[in-house]
Amino acid sequence: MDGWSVSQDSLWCATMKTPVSQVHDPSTFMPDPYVALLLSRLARELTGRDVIRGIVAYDDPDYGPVVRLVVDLDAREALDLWLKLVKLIPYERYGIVIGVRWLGEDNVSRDELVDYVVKIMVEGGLRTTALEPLDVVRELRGERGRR
Amino acid sequence: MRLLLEKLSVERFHASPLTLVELYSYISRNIGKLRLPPELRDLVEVDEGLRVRVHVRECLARLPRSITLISDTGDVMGVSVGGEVSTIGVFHKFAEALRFFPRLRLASLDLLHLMYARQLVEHTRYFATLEHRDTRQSRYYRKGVRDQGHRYRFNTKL
Repeated sequence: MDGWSVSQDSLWCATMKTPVSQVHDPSTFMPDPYVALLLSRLARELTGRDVIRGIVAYDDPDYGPVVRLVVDLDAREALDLWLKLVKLIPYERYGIVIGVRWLGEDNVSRDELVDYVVKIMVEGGLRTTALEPLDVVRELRGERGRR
Repeated sequence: MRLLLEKLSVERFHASPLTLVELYSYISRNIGKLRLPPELRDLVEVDEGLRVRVHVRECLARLPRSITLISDTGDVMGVSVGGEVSTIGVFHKFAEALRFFPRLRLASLDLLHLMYARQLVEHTRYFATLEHRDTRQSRYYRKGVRDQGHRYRFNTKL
């Protein structure tokens, strides 16, 4: 497959820097080949080289299909790539959550990580979900003594 | 907020830094009910302080650009308003409170009072408040003091 020649074996051997918990998650599966090819080509176009070392997919109960790319980049480059990808393939339009994990150095600060996460959410049309209804106004009224 | 702006038919809306304090307070106390999207969730899951900041920043980033936070003097912290990352000045006690919310999860005014108590902690034996929600709160107060290496007992009940 053009631009994506990572075998299933090497995929399962991939080690993500952040986090490591889902690398061997048995609930993941290979994504649709066309989706994998599209993402692979986009990543190459955006970074100027072949950086994808693995692609897995899984279903999230709240958000639906998720495709995760494992890339041979440092954290900053990977997060930049992630941001560009979600701008091109926003969740609100295509209904696919894109994730990126990196094999290189963790070279972003906590502040920068927060910035990236928020930008990826906003640019990609991803929103926080509430597990139960929240009433901000009611709580603030209570705190201010206007129950 | 959008509805409020439309209802008032105003072009600009200025919020005080206390709004930011209340937002941190609310999200800190409800963090268990909020769920970030997959993949992003994993990145900040291990650090509750980061999670709170992400939720706060998301709320601010989604506000209309016509909303601005009024700047105080004192400590400066970066916040995102209307999608723009900007830097505003927040009073020292407010900035201090923002750092403590994820850990203590108190109502905003309670935590602001506690921040002032910490300033005088060497001369303070009791922290008195009319709030008497439960013993869990008093444990947090003690924790807040212990974090600073002091052993003064804070009593949450009068």
